[in-house]
Amino acid sequence: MSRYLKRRAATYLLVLAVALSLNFLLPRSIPGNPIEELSSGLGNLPVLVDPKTLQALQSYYGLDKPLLQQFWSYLEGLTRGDLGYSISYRAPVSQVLVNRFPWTLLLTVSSLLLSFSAALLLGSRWAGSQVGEWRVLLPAVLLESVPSFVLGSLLLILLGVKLPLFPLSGAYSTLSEATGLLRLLDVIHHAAMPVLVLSTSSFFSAYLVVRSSVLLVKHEPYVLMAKIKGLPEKTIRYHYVLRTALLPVVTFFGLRLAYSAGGAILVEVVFSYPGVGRLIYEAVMSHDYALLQGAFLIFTGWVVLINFATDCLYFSLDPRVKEV
Amino acid sequence: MLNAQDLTLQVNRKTIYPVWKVDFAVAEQERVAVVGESGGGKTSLAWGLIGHPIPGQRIVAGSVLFRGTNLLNLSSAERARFYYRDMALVPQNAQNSFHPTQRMWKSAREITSRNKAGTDTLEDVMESVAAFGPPLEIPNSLWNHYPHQLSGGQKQRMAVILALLNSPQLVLLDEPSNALDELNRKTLVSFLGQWAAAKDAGLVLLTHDIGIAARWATRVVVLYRGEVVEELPAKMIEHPHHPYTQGLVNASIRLGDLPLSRSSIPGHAVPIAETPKGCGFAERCSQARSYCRKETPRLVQWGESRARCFRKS
Amino acid sequence: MHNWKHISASVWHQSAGQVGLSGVLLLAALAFTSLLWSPYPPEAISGSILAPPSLRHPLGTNGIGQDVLSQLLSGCRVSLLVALSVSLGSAALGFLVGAAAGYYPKRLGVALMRSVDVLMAIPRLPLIILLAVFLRPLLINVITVLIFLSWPGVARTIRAQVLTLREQDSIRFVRFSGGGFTHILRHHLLQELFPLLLAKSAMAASYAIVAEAGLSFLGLGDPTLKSWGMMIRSALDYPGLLWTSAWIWWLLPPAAMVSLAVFSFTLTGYGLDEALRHQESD
Repeated sequence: MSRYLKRRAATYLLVLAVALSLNFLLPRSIPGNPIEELSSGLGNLPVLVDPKTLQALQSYYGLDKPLLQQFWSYLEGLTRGDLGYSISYRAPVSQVLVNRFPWTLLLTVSSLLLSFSAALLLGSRWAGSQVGEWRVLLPAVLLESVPSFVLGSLLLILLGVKLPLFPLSGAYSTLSEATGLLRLLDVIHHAAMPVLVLSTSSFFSAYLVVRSSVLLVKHEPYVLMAKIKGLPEKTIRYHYVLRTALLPVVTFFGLRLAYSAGGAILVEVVFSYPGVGRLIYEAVMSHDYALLQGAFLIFTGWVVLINFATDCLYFSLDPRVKEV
Repeated sequence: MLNAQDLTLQVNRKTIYPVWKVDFAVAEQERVAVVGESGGGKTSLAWGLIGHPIPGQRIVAGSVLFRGTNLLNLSSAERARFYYRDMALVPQNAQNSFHPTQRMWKSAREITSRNKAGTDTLEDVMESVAAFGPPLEIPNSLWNHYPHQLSGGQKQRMAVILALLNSPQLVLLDEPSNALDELNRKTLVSFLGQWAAAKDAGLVLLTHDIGIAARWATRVVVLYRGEVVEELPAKMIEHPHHPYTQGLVNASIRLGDLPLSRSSIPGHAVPIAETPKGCGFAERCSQARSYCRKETPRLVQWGESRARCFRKS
Repeated sequence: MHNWKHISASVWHQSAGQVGLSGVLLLAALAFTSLLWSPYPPEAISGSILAPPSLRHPLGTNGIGQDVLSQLLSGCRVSLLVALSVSLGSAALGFLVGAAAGYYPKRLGVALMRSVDVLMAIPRLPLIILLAVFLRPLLINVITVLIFLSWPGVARTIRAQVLTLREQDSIRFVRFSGGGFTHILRHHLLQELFPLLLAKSAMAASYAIVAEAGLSFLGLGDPTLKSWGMMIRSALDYPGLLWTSAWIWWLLPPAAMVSLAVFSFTLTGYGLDEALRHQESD
């Protein structure tokens, strides 16, 4: 592996280390015993624990051992895939996460594909156009200014309640027994609004990247040459301009893919969509800290993974980076 | 075949006119050379003649009739139909103007498919270029390469080939031999001559090298500061009327020259910035008189040639 | 027709910053007036539940009878306070760190940039949530967390600029004649980079507003302050609200205000960016 990739890998490991430390230290930094915190979170009634049970719980969770040792056993547990136990779900955290993460991915990937396709189509046509570009830029800025949860709520009202076109929650109809194609359509139906809302929030920045890349390429001599060769407008726009402007866009796509998972949290909450985003919210509401930390870890882990994959991809596509 | 009248180009948002009121005509099967120094307006003229000014310039006056149709009145899509089918321009540095991630034969196919469906294979394309490659010393294998794998000279010659693929009736070449060494230069120029003769096409060669122009063309047009200052049959190149042409002839390299007999014209050409007052060449002219700076000379017929000068030869 | 197209296009380009700025000023004016006067105290129950807009309550009342307009104004105050403090804080911190990293590019710079990279790599919203859960829900904590997350972006940009500025003749002269880092920072870098800082602050402000609204929406904000996000949240939490028409005066106004605020700051930042770029090309 080259020096460049090694450096990036080191940075990402550092990121993971920071995330893990945060996960570990934060609950222990608040005043009060984590055990008390944990136990009082179950429901609305404070649970009174007698000193002996408290002691037992403390030694079970290893809270009476020195900090470093606790951290070590925490890390150890992680390598075994043990992320703790969720009190609200009464199941291992890892299990809950594995069940919910694919839904978040569905939303994230679909919305990015949608917004980037729109950005590519519109950007290749309108980039740099003095006359008409405001027609794309203005609505894009307006849409981007509306926070995702606001837009989501409005859409929910208009298309879910006023005109009951779309479902109000969930990823699929829990009561139906449909399989195969019908099931797929049902999933799409449920995902439509969240995906739409998410793509509006990523469209503007995608468009800006496409725009700057296309503008750079549009002034290259081979584009001008294609014009005086009399090549058709469509060929020039797609084959000459778009194709060669693609690289920066692809790497930006990777970047957005990494961070959009976290950005889906609010949308998932609004639409009650069963992904990890909504899970974080539930965990916060029910004081289920193990679940909260697990979700945070999975978001960070996803960011690191995709970032690194993008770095590798960029590295193989652009030979100039090899010399850095 | 091509008849431009009063053609005037302007740089956007500035009062600079790279081409000023130029009348230029090319008949079928004619070989015209346009000569002038760098900055003299040759490139601007070439692009103006096909109706597609260089980005940053626009055509502000005149007409360009190609076979009776005024190119300047057409929409850009209509004009594009002529390009690389009935007329073709090979710009300067055409070697840098290929799609960077497309093999050369596909670039050739883009041209040939203007006349038919674009489903030619490599073999079909190779057949089409068969008539061109060997004389210009392009091995067939090069067509499967990417642009960055080829040398500048190879790409330059391939650019010319692409222009000729659809047998256009009018071909304009802007300094086509810049990237080539002397031998290849001669090969290219003689090939162009043969090709034009075989196809009955008209060729326009724009160059600063008056030697090549004189040897190859039938008629020479001399451009100075965007204006035509002289037009003469190539055989009369040694005895021009206009002092600028004479200066160019003196400055060109010929075999057998005594080293000290070469001379150059002091100063350099700058585009016109307003309606010219007085002769544009006066300040660099060794034979300027006082009236040269006050009155504007017009293009006047002197025997078989025309010149824009007051001086009687 | 053609003319109109050109006019509207140039209006867009020139006035992006102006429109944004006027939006910001409008909001500031609203916030300022709310300090001095408000129809009712935001927490007071002054009318019946879910009353439609009337003379007494121009924007109606919410689910417990509080005046929507008053809450809207107080939310304006909160949002602007957050926007201002976060943008100031992140600009100041980002400027200091970025300038230091750019000025001493070898070891200090590398170390600082590595930490910036790490901080920027952690996903923002999950981190904000994590921090907000474990810190007490006070506005000051929210502001601190947001500053903590916004300064790396500023630092990175400032550092890139300082790296080139450092080698400019005017700066080199000062360095060689004994000018220290703080001196150069105060007298040269600040002036040079001020417009850029301004542009970055505008973007940081717009993000701060969204983030604060989002946090309040999730229930992690300061419950004592009626911010727009909180209004939206209570509106959505009210059972069955969506089937009445009350959402129009309870949910829409804060939603519109948040969008307006973000839009104004974003346009201001965009306009400043364009102005900077035009300056450079001249």
